[in-house]
Amino acid sequence: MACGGAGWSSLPADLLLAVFALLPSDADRVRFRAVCAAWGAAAAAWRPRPWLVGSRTDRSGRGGGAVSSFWLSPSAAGGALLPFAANVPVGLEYLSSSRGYLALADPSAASPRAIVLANPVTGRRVRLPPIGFFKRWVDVTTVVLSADPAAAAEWEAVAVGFPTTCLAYYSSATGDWARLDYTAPGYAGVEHYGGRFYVAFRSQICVVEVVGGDTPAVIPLERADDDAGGGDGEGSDDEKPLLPGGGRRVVETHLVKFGADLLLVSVLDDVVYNSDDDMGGLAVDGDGCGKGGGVGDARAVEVYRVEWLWGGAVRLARVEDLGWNALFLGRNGAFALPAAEFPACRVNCVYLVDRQGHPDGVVRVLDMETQWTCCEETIRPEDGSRGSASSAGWARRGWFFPNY
Amino acid sequence: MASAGSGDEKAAAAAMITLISSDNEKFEVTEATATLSQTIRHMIEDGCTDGGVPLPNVTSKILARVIEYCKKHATAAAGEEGSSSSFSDAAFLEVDRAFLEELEEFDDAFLEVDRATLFDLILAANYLDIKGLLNLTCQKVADSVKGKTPEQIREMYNIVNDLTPEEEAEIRRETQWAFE
Repeated sequence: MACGGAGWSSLPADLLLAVFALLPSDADRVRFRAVCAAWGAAAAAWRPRPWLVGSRTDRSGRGGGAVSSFWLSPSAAGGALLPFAANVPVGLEYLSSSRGYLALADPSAASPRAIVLANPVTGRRVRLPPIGFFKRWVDVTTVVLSADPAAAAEWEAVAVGFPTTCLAYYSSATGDWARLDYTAPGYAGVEHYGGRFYVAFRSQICVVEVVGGDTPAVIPLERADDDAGGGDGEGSDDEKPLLPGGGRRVVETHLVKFGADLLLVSVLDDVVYNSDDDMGGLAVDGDGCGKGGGVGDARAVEVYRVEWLWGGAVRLARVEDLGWNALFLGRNGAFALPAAEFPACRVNCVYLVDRQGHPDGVVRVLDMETQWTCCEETIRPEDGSRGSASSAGWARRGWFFPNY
Repeated sequence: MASAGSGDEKAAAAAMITLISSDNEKFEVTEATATLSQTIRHMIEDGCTDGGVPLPNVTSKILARVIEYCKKHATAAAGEEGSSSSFSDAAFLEVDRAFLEELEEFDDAFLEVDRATLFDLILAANYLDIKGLLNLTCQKVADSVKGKTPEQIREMYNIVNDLTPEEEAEIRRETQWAFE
């Protein structure tokens, strides 16, 4: 007691925070906060990761793009999204997220708008020029960074938007966006993996690579789908989608770095599994007169590991099990988290953000084992304005993994 | 370590600074050693180090340890500067690596202290603004609480649980998983 006594609980808050930031996992951070009042207070503003970040703006750009942040609380029900005030720059709206940065834009600025990358933990901001060749600015869907701009000498970014037949490629060396034409239109998934950007739509995987000249090109990778195609009668070559989907529509395609692997994830419009009435009921709760299509629609997810073959070809191998991990898909650079370190995540589940563009979005948690939605929650903005018609507007939401 | 020796000699020719601990003990150090502390660096820049630098927040016991750290890392910094010009020389890289390993061993040994000393080192590193030492000591604490329950951490650091039952219940309710 003599000298130690109140010692460690009297350490100044900024030093406690310095220790806190060095803890290896979020589980350790939660336990740290439960040690004593002073330790808890020092890290009171902290929220377990990941977060869900989104904004709503009316179509004319008014509404200031109020950004809402939620953290995923592992309550008994299997997950609840709790609103909190993240350190997000005021007046900007959410576009996407990648590597600890939120990609934001000023909705009141003239189109095309500059993109601001903001790290809400460090406060660091990086300004990127507008993407002039994207036609409808509101539909920039994903921005993926190759590295943390604060840590890397040179870094690149790829943005997906409209028109969907091209991508925007940014390099810190040139300081501007280049248009890369892309042959497979649709909502493409992007990931930076093994030092290169990969882009996928349905089952087509492309690599972004420089082949002579300075500007890279989007080069489709040859697919060797010998065994995978065996079941459903191959015959045609490239046009035949490798991913079965059982005739179901592919709604989104994502690429995710998963340990040493690259995964291709297809989100399917699943009208077959339509029996979970109670879930559907939960989803539409609140906007009772929901547009017909929204009621009872369900999602299925198919995951494939990209196998790298000799000669640059790829093969997709079905993955049935994510182990002790969870995937986070939405308007964000998709990512995987191990539940042991981020136990807010349910193991072997895929977290989807659905109904983008609706005032109230839905988060679905899909269990890979059962392929059933085991949890579903309607996301509402903090202001509690319950999706009234007047506030209807674009609502963009994505998962965000803050970097410390 | 010939380069380290010559570095010391060179530094010795430069100005010496006197640091005075809270219990009035005087420590003569080279400017290179002292300026690892941003606080002292600013004092030197402002020219207010004549007659010694009083450090009323640091005891002689802790100051001796801090100086030990700074001496070692100041020579490391000097070594890095010296070798950067001959960057391509494999032999130099080899020496660098050996030196970095030695530095790491030094840091590990340096951290073999009781919790009270560690606490004082953190406060001193913060007060003197020595980034490397602050990071090193905070990392030591972070490593020590890794994977431990709140109760184990309290025991280890002699901390009284002053959370109200309500606060504790609230934390547990929100984050049950971290306690399982």
